[in-house]
Amino acid sequence: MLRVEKICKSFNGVSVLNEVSFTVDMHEIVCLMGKSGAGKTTILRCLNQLESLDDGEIILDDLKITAGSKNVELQKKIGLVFQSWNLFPHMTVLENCINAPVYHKLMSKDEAISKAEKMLDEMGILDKKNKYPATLSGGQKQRVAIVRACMLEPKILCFDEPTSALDPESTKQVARLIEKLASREIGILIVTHDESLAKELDARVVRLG
Amino acid sequence: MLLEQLVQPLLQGSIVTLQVFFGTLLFSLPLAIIAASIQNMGNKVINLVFKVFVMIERGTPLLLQMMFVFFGLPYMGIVLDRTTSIFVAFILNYMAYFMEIVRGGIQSVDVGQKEACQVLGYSEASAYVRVILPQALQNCLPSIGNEVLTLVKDTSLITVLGASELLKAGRTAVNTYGTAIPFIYVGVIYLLMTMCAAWVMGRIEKSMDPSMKGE
Repeated sequence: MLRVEKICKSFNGVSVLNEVSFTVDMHEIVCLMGKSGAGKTTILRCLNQLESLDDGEIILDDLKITAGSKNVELQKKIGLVFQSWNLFPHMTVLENCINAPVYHKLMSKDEAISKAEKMLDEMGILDKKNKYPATLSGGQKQRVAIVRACMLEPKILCFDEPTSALDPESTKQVARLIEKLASREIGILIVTHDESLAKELDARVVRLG
Repeated sequence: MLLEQLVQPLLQGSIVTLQVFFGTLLFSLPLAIIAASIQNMGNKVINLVFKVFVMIERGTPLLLQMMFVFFGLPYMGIVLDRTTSIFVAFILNYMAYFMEIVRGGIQSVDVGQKEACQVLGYSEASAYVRVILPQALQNCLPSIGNEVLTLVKDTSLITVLGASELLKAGRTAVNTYGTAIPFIYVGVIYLLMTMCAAWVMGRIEKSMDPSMKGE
């Protein structure tokens, strides 16, 4: 489904990714692991087009990006939950979730609210819908970020170190949520140092470096 | 007895002071936000023009700028009446200060916010209007508040152009009645104005701070 083929990326002449290839299928959970500086986060940034490729291809269904190119349609199909969540602090939880799908005219505002409320309910944080991110715990912010990413109905959902800022209990909850997400029409790609998370999720591990 | 005689002139002076205050604020702040937003687009030529404008406005006294507009421009064939001269000088001067404050506010927004917008597929303009600018304005509200208080006091400068504002009303009363009491009244009125302005700015800051809202 998602094919990353021989991608290369360097910064100031220093090669960070050198012909990295892997795939992520629907319902599959893939963990990208490796030591610090191996380029794990750079891969996520390339997938989300926050960095351009120097070489190689990223292919999702019939959509493709190559060196120097951008593809907005592909960008919409790959969601990202940032390590620091990057929720919009001036918007409520609900506004954070509905803003992008309404902006892209994927659904009406009412439909977006209804869908967001349903997903927030599934995540167990519907009662927080009118709260602002500053008032939420790390685990709650994580779930809001997941709902925000899922509202655009991505085919691939990427997580950057999803458990690095969470306590063991929240980590288990996030693992359950990721398993639940993978049961939908979606593939999951996780960048993590946490071996226990990969085991708990029974994920396929791709090692870098 | 003296107070009764002073009410009318001090009230009229206060009205002129407030007109300059609100008129300046009404135009300079929106113009500054627009200019800082244009600056944020990164066009080198436009940015150079803005940089020179800000350097001149911030680097020379407001009093000199006012005198230049009212007394100097007529030598170049541009004649503006007193009120227009006051507003032109004040609006341009405060626009420059507000521009720098808003520019700083824009730069203070976490880069992750822009990246989140990119990942969610917002256009640059939409990301700026929906996400970056609201946070930038929120970040720079305390600095804007400071400038607003300074503006209240700076309005007294227009007395040199012969405008009948609060300070001039007080000075006239001092000369007429031979006592310093009117100056104390004038001081109290300025103090009340700045206290009101500080209270309003505080309310705006609270209303825009998400961590204060909770829900």
